[in-house]
Amino acid sequence: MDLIIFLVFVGGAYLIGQHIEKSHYKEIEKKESACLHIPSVTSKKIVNLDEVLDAKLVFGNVVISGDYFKMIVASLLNFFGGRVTPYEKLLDRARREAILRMKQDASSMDADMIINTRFEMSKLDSMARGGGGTGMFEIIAYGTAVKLAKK
Amino acid sequence: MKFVAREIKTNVNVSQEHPLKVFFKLLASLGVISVVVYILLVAVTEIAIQYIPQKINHALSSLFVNQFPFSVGSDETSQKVQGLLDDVSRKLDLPHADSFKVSIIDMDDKNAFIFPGGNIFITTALLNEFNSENELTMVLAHEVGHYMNNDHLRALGRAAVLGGIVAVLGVGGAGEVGQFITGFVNIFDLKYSRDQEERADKFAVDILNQYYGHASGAVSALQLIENKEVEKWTLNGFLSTHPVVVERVRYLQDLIRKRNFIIKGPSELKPLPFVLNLYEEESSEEIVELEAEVSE
Repeated sequence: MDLIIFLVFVGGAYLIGQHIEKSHYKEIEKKESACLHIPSVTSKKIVNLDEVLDAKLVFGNVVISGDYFKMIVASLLNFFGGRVTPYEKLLDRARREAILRMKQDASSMDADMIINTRFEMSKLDSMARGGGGTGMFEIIAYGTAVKLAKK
Repeated sequence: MKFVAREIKTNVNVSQEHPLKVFFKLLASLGVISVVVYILLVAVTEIAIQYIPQKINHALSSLFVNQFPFSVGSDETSQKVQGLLDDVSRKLDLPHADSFKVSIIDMDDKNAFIFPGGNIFITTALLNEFNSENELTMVLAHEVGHYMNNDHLRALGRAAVLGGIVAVLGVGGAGEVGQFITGFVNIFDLKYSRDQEERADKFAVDILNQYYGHASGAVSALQLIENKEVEKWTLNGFLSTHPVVVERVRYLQDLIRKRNFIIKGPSELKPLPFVLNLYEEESSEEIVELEAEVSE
């Protein structure tokens, strides 16, 4: 009986989680092609300072949580070992979303590019629930948006 | 260098392995581990119960009885039922006869169970259902049958080993793995406990036949718990521990036919050795109160 309830929960969490993941990826791809005109690079010295008309710190912040299904798979993998593939997708989504938000911030000042892009990441629910929970992560992407003089 | 915007076509950061495939692979691995654990459980308990002395059996019993807030076998009905059980075990010369202590407990759930050491509990709800002494004897003998087959020790031993494994996994941070293994083992266990029920039924009907000279009341005693089974059926259907009553009844009827036990009519059944006033008492008090009011 417990097993049936458990499987219903896992199955439900899986279906909902898959749906959210798919629609999120669609949204990310749409936004990415819309933001293609603003490149973000990790290099610090790609632009000549004389050409910079305006600069601004831009950042994109994403908090994302795993679901029950991902948690179960991850906790089992904790015992058996191996690549935690459900969380790979989760973090990939979060990173790309963070970059997109950063780019949206940059596009508000009509920036030409973002230089010196960096990532920070932290796990949010580890303190609150003693390391348990479905896994909640915060990812911040930040960089310097620059507006260049047109030649 | 001229910047050319390119769309991201591939993603090397995520594996394309289907999440359900990962999940079922893990589940299958757990299944294999559970089978190993289960075999271990069966082996340990089946071997160990052959060497458990009666003294330890009794020591275990005191552990369990102390967990209950009620006194064991103190009231009048309990003593009457005890008298019946004593008479059965004396006449049939059952081993460990003095180990069995019957107690009635006030519960709405129709049930009877036996603890390590031989403490038998019958709930008032079940007691109210009995129509004859034969049925009561059948239920008592069924519980004694569990004891004779050492089913309580099996249950205890398995709980101990399984609990130990789960606890160790929990300490190692793999609590979920332990829960999975418990779930799997419980499913494997269903067949095992069904076999135990049937063996106890078999023992009980033999006792009934030897004591009364016929096996009437055996089948109807099983049917008394049918309501409970129906409720169970809606809840966990095929996962029921007790084989569905219909199945058990069929098994018992086959057995009675095979052994040529005599079945007699309801008039041949012995009346209960006690009168149950569990509900009547209350109503008679109410009547007295009503009468008092009328006379005023």
